[in-house]
Amino acid sequence: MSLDSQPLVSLPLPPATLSSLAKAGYETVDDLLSSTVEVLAEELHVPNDTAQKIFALAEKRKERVPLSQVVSMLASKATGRVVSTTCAPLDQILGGGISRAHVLELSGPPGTVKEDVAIGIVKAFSDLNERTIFVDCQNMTSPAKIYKNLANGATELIRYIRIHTITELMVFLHTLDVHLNTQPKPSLLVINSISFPFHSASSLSMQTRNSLFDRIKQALTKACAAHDLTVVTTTQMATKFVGLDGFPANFDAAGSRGVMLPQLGPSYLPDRRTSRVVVAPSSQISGVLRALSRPLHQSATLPPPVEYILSSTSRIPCHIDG
Amino acid sequence: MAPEIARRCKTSLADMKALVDAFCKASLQPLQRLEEIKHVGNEKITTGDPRLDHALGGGIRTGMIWEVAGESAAGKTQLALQLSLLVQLPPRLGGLSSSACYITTSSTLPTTRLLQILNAHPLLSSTLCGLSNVHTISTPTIAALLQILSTTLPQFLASKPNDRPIKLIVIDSLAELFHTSAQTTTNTLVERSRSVSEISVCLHTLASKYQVAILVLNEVVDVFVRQISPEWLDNGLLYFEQSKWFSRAHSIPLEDSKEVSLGLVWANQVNARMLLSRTGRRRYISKDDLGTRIQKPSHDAAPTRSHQTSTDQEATLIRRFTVIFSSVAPPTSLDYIVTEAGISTLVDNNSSASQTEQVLAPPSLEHPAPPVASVLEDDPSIPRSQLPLDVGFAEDLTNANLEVAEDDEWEQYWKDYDLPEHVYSDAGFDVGAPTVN
Repeated sequence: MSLDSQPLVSLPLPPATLSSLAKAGYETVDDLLSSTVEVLAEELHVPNDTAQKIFALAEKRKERVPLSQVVSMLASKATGRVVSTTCAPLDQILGGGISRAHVLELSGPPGTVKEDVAIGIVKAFSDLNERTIFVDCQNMTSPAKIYKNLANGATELIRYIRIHTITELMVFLHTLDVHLNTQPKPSLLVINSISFPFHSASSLSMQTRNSLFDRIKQALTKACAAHDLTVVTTTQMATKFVGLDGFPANFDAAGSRGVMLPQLGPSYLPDRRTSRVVVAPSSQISGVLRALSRPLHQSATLPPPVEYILSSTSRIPCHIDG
Repeated sequence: MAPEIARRCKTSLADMKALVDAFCKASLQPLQRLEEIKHVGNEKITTGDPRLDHALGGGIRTGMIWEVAGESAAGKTQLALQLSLLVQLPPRLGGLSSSACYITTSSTLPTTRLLQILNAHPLLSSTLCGLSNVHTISTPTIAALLQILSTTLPQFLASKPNDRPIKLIVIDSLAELFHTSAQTTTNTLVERSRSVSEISVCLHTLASKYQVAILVLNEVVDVFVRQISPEWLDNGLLYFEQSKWFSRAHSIPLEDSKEVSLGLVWANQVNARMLLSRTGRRRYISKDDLGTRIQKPSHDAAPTRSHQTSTDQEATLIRRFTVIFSSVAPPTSLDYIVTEAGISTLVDNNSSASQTEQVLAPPSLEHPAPPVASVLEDDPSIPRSQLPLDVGFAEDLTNANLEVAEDDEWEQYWKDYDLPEHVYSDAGFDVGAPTVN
């Protein structure tokens, strides 16, 4: 059985047929295609034209699939489904750029360039003459700062709002439809420091927090699916203590060490549509971008970390070789 | 959310949905067009020092939380006092024609020092600013601070007439509130992180709602070195590895021996972090080092220099200012000295690389330092590159107490130094606001 061949169960066949195929030793589309209509008819004890139909289904599937990840990315770039983020190392780790109707979470320790990268993506969309809603939760990106980074005349494409508390955030997401139905429609939503409003909710129970995460996830999923909205969030990090055995431990435990992870965890994000990237500095001007997760339907192996460097003139990371 | 509330209140889901929708509609904030607000975030307070302003991205901007960390006597309070006065200047001089609110946690507002800065700083004059525009309040506990930030200050800011709005809030200092004799445990960490979060929500809300600059003074602690087993490094981002990039500075040797206190929870909250370090270096300061700083008229024997004559052949202590990170400017470092006018940066003649070499090089004994600063100024035949810049470095490494003594001397000196006010009355120069963006 070849590795990238699709299992037969992925074909739209009745269960009885699938089980007789399995009994005859066929597991994947490739297995089936290596046989012939006549052999198949004999093995399954079915008429020739039934075997012919099964064969046709398998052939059809075979034609559609062989695009590899990269090729399909290139195809989506050509059709505008992927937008370059203006940050080459980020494009590389995302496989070409940010996918429309998907969510990108950028996280990193204090002082990393995550906000600058987010503004870079706003610029990329405004260069395509597309609209952005920009939410600032922690005073990291003032209107003046965004304005400074945009081309002249692009300011009309940006709507801006400040949100500091969890109530404001939930109200905003609850009424997101209103903004998304206004013409011309926005294509990009940036929520900068989305972890901050949760500080105003430090007294909430774990259960309530989880239900809030769930609400955010639903709102984002709906906006992506129904309005083709692309979403960028940035988040701060928190330290989790891990013991010598690799399991969670307390600060007090001997030999425990702090590992930094994005503050809100993955549960507020639609997992089928989200890429999570961490900015991990290894000096004041360089470091790596590391993929934490990618959308569920993409291959399970994460791309290797991509090194970046900050030039003296820009706060957008670039490749080390320039 | 609606189903949950409906269940708890025992009402119908439809009713509750309508209620939630109505609430959201009513509390919906409109989105603003960037075109209309594109200048929000450009309001700046000058530090009174063009090089420092430049390093900060134009000055202290409103609408942000700025942190100034450093050892005691590094100059944190000096900078805060200086800004409390400079914010009162009219915009043409780099201020905002506003007032400041100075929150103290363990000390009281050092008014004598404030007056000295007012008298000594070339930009300031008693006709333009004064102590009456520095409001002060003491908050000895975390609860008191929260009360002030969440209730008292918002009322005060809202009621303040427009002629002198508050544009600068100083907290001197935050870390003092968290001093405790108890040992650090998971519980104390959780408690601390909750308090820090609550304080931060208040501060960010104040900063953006009233567009004030918030300057929080913080302390540093010694870095204690831990061995890291190599296999840990594969295991994601280690806090210990990462914290050196956001809690320490690395522009010169030994600057990284201290780290900013209060950990990641607080570091996550600040928009810009500045570190003031007493580096133990000394240098003979000439006029060139101070650059084109405007001197008070009729006062050419600048106070900065008179200090040197008073301590005879001592070189001035050089300190190091580093922007560790900032949302509005790239990281950078500068040398500075503390004068009676506050913090004053020095012209950086050297690239950071060559400066490192100079610091590392042992002090040259064959070429003793020229005895007085005036020699440096008057004798152009001495190439600047050969001047022994950091003569005191090695000495201070072995004798840190010397510096403390020096600081005490300074305190004494300021107490004795009292110029009649009319000397400076109405300086009247118009240098204009720095135009750095």
